[in-house]
Amino acid sequence: MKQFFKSAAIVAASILLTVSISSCNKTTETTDEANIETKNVIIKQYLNHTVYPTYGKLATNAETLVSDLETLKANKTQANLNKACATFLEARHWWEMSEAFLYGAASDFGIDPHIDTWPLDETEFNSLMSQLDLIALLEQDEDGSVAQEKLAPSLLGFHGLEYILFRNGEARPVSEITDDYMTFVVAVARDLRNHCFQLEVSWNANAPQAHKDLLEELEFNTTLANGNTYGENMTLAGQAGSTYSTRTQALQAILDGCIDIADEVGTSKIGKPHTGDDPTYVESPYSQKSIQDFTDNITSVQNAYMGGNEGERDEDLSVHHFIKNSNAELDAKVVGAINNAIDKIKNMKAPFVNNYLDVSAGEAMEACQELSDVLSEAKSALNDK
Amino acid sequence: MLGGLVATAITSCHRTEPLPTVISEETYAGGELGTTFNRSHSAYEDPTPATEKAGLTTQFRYGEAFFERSYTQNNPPFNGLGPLYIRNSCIACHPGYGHGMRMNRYRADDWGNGYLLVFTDRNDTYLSSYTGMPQTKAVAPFKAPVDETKIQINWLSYVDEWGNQFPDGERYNLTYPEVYIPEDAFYVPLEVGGNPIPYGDFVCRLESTIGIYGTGLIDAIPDDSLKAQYQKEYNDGYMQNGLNPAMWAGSDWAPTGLYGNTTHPKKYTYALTRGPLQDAPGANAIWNITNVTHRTKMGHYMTAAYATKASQDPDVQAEFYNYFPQYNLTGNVETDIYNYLMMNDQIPESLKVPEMKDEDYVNFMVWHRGLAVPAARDLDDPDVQRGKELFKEMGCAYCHRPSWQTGDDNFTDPAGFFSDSDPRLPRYPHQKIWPYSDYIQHKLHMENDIRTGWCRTTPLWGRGLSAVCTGRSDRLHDCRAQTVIEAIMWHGNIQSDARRTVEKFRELPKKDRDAVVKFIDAI
Repeated sequence: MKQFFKSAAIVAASILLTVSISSCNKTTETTDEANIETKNVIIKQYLNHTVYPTYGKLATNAETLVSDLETLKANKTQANLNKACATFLEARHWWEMSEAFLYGAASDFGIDPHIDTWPLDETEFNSLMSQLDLIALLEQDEDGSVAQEKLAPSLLGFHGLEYILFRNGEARPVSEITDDYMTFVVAVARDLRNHCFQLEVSWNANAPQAHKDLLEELEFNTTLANGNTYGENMTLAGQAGSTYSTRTQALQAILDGCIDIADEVGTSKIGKPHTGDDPTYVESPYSQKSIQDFTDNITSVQNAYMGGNEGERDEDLSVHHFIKNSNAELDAKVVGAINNAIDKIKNMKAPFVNNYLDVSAGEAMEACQELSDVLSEAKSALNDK
Repeated sequence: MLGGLVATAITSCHRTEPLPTVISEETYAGGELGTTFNRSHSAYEDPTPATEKAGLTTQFRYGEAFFERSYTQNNPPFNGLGPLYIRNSCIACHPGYGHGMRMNRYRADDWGNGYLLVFTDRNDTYLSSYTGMPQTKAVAPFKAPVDETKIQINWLSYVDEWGNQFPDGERYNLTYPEVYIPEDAFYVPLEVGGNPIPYGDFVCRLESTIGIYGTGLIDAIPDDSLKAQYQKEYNDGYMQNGLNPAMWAGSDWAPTGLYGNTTHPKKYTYALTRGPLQDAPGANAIWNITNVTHRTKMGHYMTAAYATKASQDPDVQAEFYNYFPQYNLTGNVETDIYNYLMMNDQIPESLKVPEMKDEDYVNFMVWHRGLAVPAARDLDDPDVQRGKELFKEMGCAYCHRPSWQTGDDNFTDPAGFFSDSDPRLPRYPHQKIWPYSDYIQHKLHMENDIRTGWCRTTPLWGRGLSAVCTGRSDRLHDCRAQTVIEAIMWHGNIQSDARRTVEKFRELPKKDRDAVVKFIDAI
């Protein structure tokens, strides 16, 4: 790898030299930071092998969920419900795997609160079920836009669907699902699909054209103000037109996303129920998949830090490798903290909704908080590198 | 040799990355106790060092949830929404913890919509039949006071006396919003002082939220320091519009310049409506935006006019007892509806249970006081330094006063929930802070101006990170400016208090204009 970095440095220097000599006014480079080529490669790996594939799978599964629910609506069988529930869980898995990068489109466009607000407002839901004219409108809601316009965020997204499809950790008996409930879930699933497409397309300029077309039809925002995708914005770090004035800031944003989710899982998702003895803070009480959610959240951190999702990871092209080169001890702490957090979460007594006071929950909480702290150290260590 | 050549090429036309070891006091925009060095997407969301040092980080994180999460009617822990509400969460109006976004329509659920509707008559008097911040959402069986689907926001072009062009030919856009609401959108009659007004006298304007970071630091500015600033500006006589007589009476505060029954001046909101932070926009909004009650705010944000209308509405009467059976107290549904909405003394104490727990309210205020200001960035960049010099020379720094010194920060709570200097909240004594505002109102005489024309100088700190933290950088009270240049040029009306400064700005060469913008984005 020494060879890689040595030649990368020479390449970087020649690029700078060429650009600088040809014309100072024409370059869009705004910084003279070090290790530019290495950082560019890390950013590219992160985008192509963590962000884009995660959102891609989320989008695909959200789309499949719509067709599964349409199938269920046409033919209300337990088998069809079970299939829809399995697809729901797969889609949710990929959403939770994206939570190390909730910055960008997920927050700027309010997609996170739109698709992941909880708890569901049961009073509001019951009120909806008595509004026959609104249900009739939802029945005609071919593209999810009625759900988007007419339903409160506390009815939409994953948790709206989870409430109808699951009870006590399993698919509900299909007989409990009325026709009006089905009208609701199909409309909500279409709206969820639209926003999952929005995440995918807003980051990845090469997202499927069909997804881009749907969003254009729905007039969804899919770029920054200057027309760049979030992926392009990060790729252009250190150049004019990017919100990252250096590539270091882009790497620090990668870690910042990790810090945010590690802290949230530790302090809020596990910590608040555990220390406050308050089960109303448990996030997925109907499907009882909280522990899976937490595991996916920290795996998301691992993918972001280690250079890609499982099956397409290249640790040499990662923030982990970059930090290891200048501070092996710190990197080892981070890697250890990630593995420790995942282990402790997997070790939690299941289901979380019934065991949030257990000692195993406390250990997982602490492991996540430690992870958040060491990631903050890693973020600072990136200054001037 | 290669390294040497590269070094030469670099220094001739690239700026150097600032070294973290060289930190001037100005970098600490929130003082040492109030600044975060985060410049990433979460820069507006960090706890202050004071919060961390006081061991309040966990409470801060717990309190944050009450800002970020959506409220429900009856599902804890974020329950209590309704009967009427403006938004179902706080972050809905403060996207990314920052400034509201420019919108093409008004919907409570549109992400980024930080607008409050301002309903007045042609004399700028607020309607009495609507809450000061009109609600557009209701829970069943109630109807919204105004149908938001009928509200139209039209963006119009404006051409200033210079043709929207600098002397060197560079152009800028000026646009501003006008709001139209048809008469049939109103469920509640239009009344001022309890008396009906003709529809033709009705005016609606927009006021957007700004960021929340640093409000704890502002609270720590001593009253006397603000008083001295008023006296100085009054004595200087530079402002062609003078000072607002509702705030300053020449040599002392006007009676309405002080907050409520307190001796504390008003510092917060465009209209300077709030004083000590513990009873200021956030502390009130956690109640009045969502109508979630807590121990010192047990009423409903409501008007008698709405309560009357709803109680007499046959549709509401038909369903009220189904939705609110526990408020069937007299058997007379009109009376019961009215009393419930007004949450008056006809409602027994047993039904007046706070929807937000004390502990959660405390945590929320830890978060609110505890939000850090991002450190100023790139201050040693020569362009930023040049911009700073010009900002001062031209007179921008007169209203956008760069810095203040906080006092002992023995904060108070006019609402009586917290004691003076309550140890449960973080404090910011003796900090030099850099908000770039005098906290005094001036007039810019903009097209379709803010209500009354008086507008508190908006603090500029941290705004350069808006695109990173929220996705947009809209400025001014109704988000009419999409760039810093547009914001500056809206200061240029011939009657504006900033007129002479804008004239100087116009005369600058482009390089210097860009330097001023860079400075404003750096603080």
